Amino acid sequence: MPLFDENSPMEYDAIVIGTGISGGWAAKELCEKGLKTLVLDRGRNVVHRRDYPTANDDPWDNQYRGQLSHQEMQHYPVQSRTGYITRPEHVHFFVKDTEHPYSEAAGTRFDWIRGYQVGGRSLVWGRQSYRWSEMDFEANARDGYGVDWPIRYRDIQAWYDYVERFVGVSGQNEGLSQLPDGQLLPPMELNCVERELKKGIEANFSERLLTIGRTAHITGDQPIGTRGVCQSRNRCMRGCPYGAYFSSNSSTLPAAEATGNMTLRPHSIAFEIIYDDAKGRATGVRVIDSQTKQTLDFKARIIFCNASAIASTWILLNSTSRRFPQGMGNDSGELGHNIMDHHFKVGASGTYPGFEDRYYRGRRPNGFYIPRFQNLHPKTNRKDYLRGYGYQGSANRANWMRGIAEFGFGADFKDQLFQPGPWQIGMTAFGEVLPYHDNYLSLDTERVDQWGLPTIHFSTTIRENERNMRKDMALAAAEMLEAAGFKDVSPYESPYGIGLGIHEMGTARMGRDPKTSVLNRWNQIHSVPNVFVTDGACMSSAACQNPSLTYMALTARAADHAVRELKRMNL
Amino acid sequence: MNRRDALQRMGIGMGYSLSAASLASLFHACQSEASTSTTAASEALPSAFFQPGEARAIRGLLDILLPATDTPSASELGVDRLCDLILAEVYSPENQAAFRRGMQHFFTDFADDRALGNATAAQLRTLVERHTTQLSSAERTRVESFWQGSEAPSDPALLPEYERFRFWRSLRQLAIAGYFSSELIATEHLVYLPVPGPYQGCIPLEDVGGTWALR
Repeated sequence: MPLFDENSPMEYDAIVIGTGISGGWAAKELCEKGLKTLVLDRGRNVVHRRDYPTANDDPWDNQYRGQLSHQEMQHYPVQSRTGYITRPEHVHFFVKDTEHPYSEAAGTRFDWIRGYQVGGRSLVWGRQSYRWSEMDFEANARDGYGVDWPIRYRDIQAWYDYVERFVGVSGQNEGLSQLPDGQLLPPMELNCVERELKKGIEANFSERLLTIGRTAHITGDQPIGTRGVCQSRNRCMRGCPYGAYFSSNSSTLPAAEATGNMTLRPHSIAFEIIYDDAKGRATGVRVIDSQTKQTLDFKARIIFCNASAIASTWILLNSTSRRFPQGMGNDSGELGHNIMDHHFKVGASGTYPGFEDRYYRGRRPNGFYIPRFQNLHPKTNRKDYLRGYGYQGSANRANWMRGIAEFGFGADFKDQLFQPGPWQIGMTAFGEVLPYHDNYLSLDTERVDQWGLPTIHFSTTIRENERNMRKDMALAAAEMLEAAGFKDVSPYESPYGIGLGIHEMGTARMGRDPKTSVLNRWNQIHSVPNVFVTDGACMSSAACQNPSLTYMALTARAADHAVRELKRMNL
Repeated sequence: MNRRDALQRMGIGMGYSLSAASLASLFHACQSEASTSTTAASEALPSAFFQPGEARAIRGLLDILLPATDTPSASELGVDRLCDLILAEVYSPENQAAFRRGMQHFFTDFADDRALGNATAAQLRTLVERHTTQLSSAERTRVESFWQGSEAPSDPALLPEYERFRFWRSLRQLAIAGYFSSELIATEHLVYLPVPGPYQGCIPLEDVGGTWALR
């Protein structure tokens, strides 16, 4: 990577703050359009392939067989809420909470899951990639929650095409209005029992459908650039030596680098966008070098803020000036408010009798998807909640772990554990959280971090709409499994805190009116048009689909607009 | 009746005894012997979590749970040492204390650690049977509720039984997870395929010949 050194300039055409899923796209697009671009990340550099130290580790390569010691766990009181992050094979791609503190209002929680390194959470994301639909962009206008999106599906459709072709998204087009078709690579296979569920749902429910998950993996015969075809190892979160899944490290950053226009600067904590009151525009970014502790100012004509839904807004709130005493672009008072996520940890499980002589080959890094089927049109309208949810799940054959909660022992017991067990299935719903002004974050200038920077205080909770939806999420899952002939069907619901879905968004929302929103239809700050925010902060509503694909499309669209406006001398 | 139930449960999947995995296991008789001598040496090492008598009794329990067949026993693979390490280093102090309380209830017939260390295989087997095959169906239902619930029962009279069975479940988990995630079992007795290639969702089991080693 072309890393910043003592000969690098302090002034650029553009600065991108953050290298995660959206920052990587900003870097690629701006560099490919010819802008000299400084790309900042607060964490260490992670070079594709070189810096995936655990990519080929087996379970026995770790002395505690996939667990951290109790002593190490003390660093992860929040990250461990996920239940899967604190594993030795990928924990190095997540922050130690003890080094990056924040606070939660009494009686509430906000689960802030973070990866501070070049590539950010694009290294460890879930990779599920779905388009939003017309219905999703119209939702706020229709029921009055939040503010109306300043764009519609037709504004972003071509940009979905554009990013999907570069990302490589595997899946099956189904021709659904609530889940638009895309530019998809060949679908991964459903397994025997998932095919039974698909048949059972289609036979019993006219509005419902099961499809294979759409996931950012290369499938079929054609590699994309230096990226190879998915090998079904399911070790994605460690970094993929094949480059089979999309990450900034495997995809967008190498593309940006290839232009010769990118300068990458890791260890750079951007904490303020500099505003010039006289010029009435942003002039650069103020950074603390986390290694030297020096404060540095970098200048640029345009700035893309892609630090994440929470951190981008933290930077803006921390960017005060005479013009913006409450934080850059915060004329509306909405900056930091309307935090959304996808609520989950609710669904159903069951077993499927039969197919004892069938099995599968490979560890598919993907599952099935049941797109939203509630509140689509009058026939599916619910009285008890607005909007909807989709399910993600998978079936497999039980392995030896089924012997734990059993009453057997001895030679026969042990020998049968060497054979595959019964087929089992599980599905989890992901539901839309409405935008509530009272779900918010604020700066805590009393409690500062190790660099003397203000920490964040959160106050977020789900409310009646989400609670009512959760009841339906559990029941509808069990109902489909039963209708499809599954046995031992049991619905479940576990505690959930906003953020745990790691789809946090909405803190600097787009809108038509500067009085009620932070960003305009091109992701520019209404009052500071040379600053663009194109990560999860920009979202006006949450829909129920995994959001990364939409962040990517919005970023490419905004970068295109930024460069056209620069050429017209409008910025 | 209960024994028959248990046997039926054990019968799941028994139809595939001529698997590649069990064929492969024929080649490992010598390796098992080799690892036995390693275990004998490791017996002299001090435990990090267990008292000496506890360590010996736990090793006995693990080998009753997972004895040598055409595959090695738990202790031949050093699973007892692994349990000791995980209990000492991974378990939180609260979980360590709960495990200890449950273990003490489990071994309540033995006066002290020395007596426990001298427990015979027959005595340990009786203990295991009491916690598995000899449970009445009413007891099983209660134990299953202990295992599913995350909170201790509110009735203090039930607490010793609860802690005893939570210990037993933890030990089973440590043993089974440790055994099947060991290199020898994964690479020689399960079907180890680190780079599978494109996923195939519905193929004959006989094409695989056993359980996939990696999840």
